[in-house]
Amino acid sequence: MLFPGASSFPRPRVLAALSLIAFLAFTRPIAARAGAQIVNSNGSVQVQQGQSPELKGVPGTPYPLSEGDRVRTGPAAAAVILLGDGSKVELGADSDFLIEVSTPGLTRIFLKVGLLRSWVKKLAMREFSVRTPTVVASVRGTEFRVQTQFDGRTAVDLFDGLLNVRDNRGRDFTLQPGERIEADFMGALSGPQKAELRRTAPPASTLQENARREVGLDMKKEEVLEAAARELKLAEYQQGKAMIDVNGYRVRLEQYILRPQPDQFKLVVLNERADRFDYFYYMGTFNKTLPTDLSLALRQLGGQLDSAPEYWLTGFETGRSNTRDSIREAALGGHSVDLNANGDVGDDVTAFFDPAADRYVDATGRAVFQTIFDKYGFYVNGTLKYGWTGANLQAYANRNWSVNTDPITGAALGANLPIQSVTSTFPDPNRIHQNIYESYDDGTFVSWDNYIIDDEGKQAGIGDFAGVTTGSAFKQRLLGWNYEQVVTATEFQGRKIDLVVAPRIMIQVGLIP
Amino acid sequence: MRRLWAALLLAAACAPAGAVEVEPVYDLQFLGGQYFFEGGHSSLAGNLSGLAAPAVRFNERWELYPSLASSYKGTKEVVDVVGAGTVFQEQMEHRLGVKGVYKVPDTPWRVKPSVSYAAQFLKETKDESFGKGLFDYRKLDMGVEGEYVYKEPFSVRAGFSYFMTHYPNYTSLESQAALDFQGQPLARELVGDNVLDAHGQMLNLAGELPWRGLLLESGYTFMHQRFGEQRVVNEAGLLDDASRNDYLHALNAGVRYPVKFGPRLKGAASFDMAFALSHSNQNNYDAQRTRFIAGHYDYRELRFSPGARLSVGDQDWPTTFSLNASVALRSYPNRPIQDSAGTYQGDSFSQTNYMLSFTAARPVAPRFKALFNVQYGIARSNQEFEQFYSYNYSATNYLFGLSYEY
Repeated sequence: MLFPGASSFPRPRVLAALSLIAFLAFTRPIAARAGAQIVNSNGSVQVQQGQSPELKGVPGTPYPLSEGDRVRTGPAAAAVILLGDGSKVELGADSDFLIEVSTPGLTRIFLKVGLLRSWVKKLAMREFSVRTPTVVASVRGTEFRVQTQFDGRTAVDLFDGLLNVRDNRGRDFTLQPGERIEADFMGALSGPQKAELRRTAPPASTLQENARREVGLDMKKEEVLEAAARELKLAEYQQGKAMIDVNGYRVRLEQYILRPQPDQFKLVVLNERADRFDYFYYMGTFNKTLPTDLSLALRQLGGQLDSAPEYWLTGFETGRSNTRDSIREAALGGHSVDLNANGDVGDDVTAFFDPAADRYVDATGRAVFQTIFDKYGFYVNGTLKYGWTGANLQAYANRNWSVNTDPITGAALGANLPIQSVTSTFPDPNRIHQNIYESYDDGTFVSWDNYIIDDEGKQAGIGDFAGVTTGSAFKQRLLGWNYEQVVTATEFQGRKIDLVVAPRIMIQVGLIP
Repeated sequence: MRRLWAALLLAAACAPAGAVEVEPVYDLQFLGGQYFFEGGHSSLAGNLSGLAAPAVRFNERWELYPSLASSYKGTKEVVDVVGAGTVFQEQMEHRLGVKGVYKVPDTPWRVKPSVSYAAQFLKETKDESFGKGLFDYRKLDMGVEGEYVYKEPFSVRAGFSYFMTHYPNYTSLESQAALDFQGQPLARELVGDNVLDAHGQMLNLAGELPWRGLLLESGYTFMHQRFGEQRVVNEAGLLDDASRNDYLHALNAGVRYPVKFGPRLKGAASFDMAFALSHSNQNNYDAQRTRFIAGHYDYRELRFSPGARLSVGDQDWPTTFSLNASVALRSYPNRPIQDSAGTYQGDSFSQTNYMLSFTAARPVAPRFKALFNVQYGIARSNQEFEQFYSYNYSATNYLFGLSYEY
């Protein structure tokens, strides 16, 4: 097996992995407790550490920040700063930002110029404030934005929570969500004003972005494998190996060829549904060794126009089974006969299925060579129901129906064979569903229900065969459909054989007359 | 596997408490919609997908990305296998993955070992239930990738992975039918059981390059799959000793061009090309028509995908519109076409798929977006035999709903 114990793939390990993911996934973001850090940077972001005179570029994230550190962003740049308490600050382009105080009880930021948006954690014992040249905004748990121009003019927008803003004249203003206040060095220009403001989520950290990126890269690889799996499945559908039957249930179909002997071939059709397995086989024995390319011989299986075929059957056997019940036909003594010149007008052929052209052609007045078998037997669950014998038969009209001898084995039967009578009906006038009922005078029966269905199990309607007036035209139209045959018999004791096959081979060998 | 988990847990336990960072990533998407195929349509159904990926940073060198991605699809999309015709399909998929990222000190190199396990469940017919779908599969993938980050976030990557796929509910029927009721052989010699199961290797090369305001991307993938239990079919329709081997070469290249029209209007144009060449040593024998087709599974595909994206409104609250198209030209050089009755013709089989997709996304609350997506696809082929599969069709689907991103 490909995976040891595939049906029970290492569950404890999978569960352990799931547990770990669940534990980690529901863990609140944990930041370095030591202090603030830049967790995402985009474009030119520089830091001036403490009293250091120089600004240095941020080489990567996370980048630790301490009290007194200054952060500057260039044009089209941005930085996300995660503070020690879990609050987040997004710094926009061309901004100058200083961590003035960072203690367990107080965070104070100075925004000299630029744009800052903050998502402050609600902590009862902490104070968080942003100072600009013209205002001080103090909060406990809120989302707000501060924008400071080079001339010190500042706009403060509040998205959520409550915000206290103090201007340079010492006046306090309380902002409600959706309000804005503007101030310059002379103080607030007016009181809080309503503004069109929308809350947003805090920006992602580099770690979160990396997680998305890595999962994204994995998914791309996954797509290649998924496409390969889809291709496999596609081929199964395109070859008709997976279908849906007349009741909307899954039918699997496999058809292949065996070569039991050099002069034999065996076509096998297997059907599987959720609760059953049925199969059909047709084994032909030819007059000579078969070529590698079987089609050379099989295209002559149904006979040949104008001249005697090179290959013909000397015997055949068909089997249908649900793995418990069976129907078997066997024929021996096959030889090629021109049916249009055998003296029996009753078997004259006017339309002949030409496998080369894959259609019916007019055979009136032409030689039509087909195989006639001298011996034939039809068996249900191994019991002979009827058969015939003959000697170099030139027409089936001359065959001798078996009475008390097995036509194939020649063995004497314990009793005379029952007399058969056949009726054919179409139970639903709007659907192509034929029932052939063979009843025998010993009280037994064999019933054949033949449906024509499409690949999705939809039963063909009369309209699908509109304009068809001849048997040959019917078979021609049938080539585009599937053929479902359900067989029941007294010997099956309520069971059935239910087969779906493509009709071509059955037409070709005469099983669909 | 147990050792890997133990090592990871040990690493987590040994890391200084204050130094470990965990930042979860969640995505959730709930969409409802319908699927239309050749006059038929599905009932209104929902699609749900979610991702939980708690990113863990142990220290400056090690990061770990465990992830769990799950999805349920109640309605098909145009990109799914549609030629099979049925509008009824439910699909569920779960993928559990762990990826480590090791940053080699003082270098731009990253080494990324990974392991993942995925399970896909399908319900395509009335009698299939989740877990019993014919084409359900499981996949185990182990790999390692080297990444050279020459300029954040741009890099070149080379990866290798080994994978195994297993179809738990698919066994060949032939392998289940050894003898007929007469006691005669019903199956070919050498027939395999789990014929779709495979194991294989994948090699990936990929990279991005910013150039004059453009972003250039390209990649190459080589994949080999060996189907150990699927024997090669020979000219006589019988099975050889050799197992099936498939080889895929895939090249892709793309360019993206971001444009800013103003403070409230941004856009991006993109153009992608992909070429795939697949070769298999497997042949096909059409038992109905006793026709042997060598190299039946070989194909090549050329795909062009232009796209455009427009972002309108406040930078923090933009509404985005995306329009993507694709044209895929696929040909099977060794597979002859058939007429409507199934008779083989001289030309080889080819199919062209056109697809147009439009998506609108509008934020409705922090982290939440309302989404609308409509897809329209057309397939055209010179294959006229459509008894089992439709090669010429049009299909549409629409989806609408909400997405959440943390």
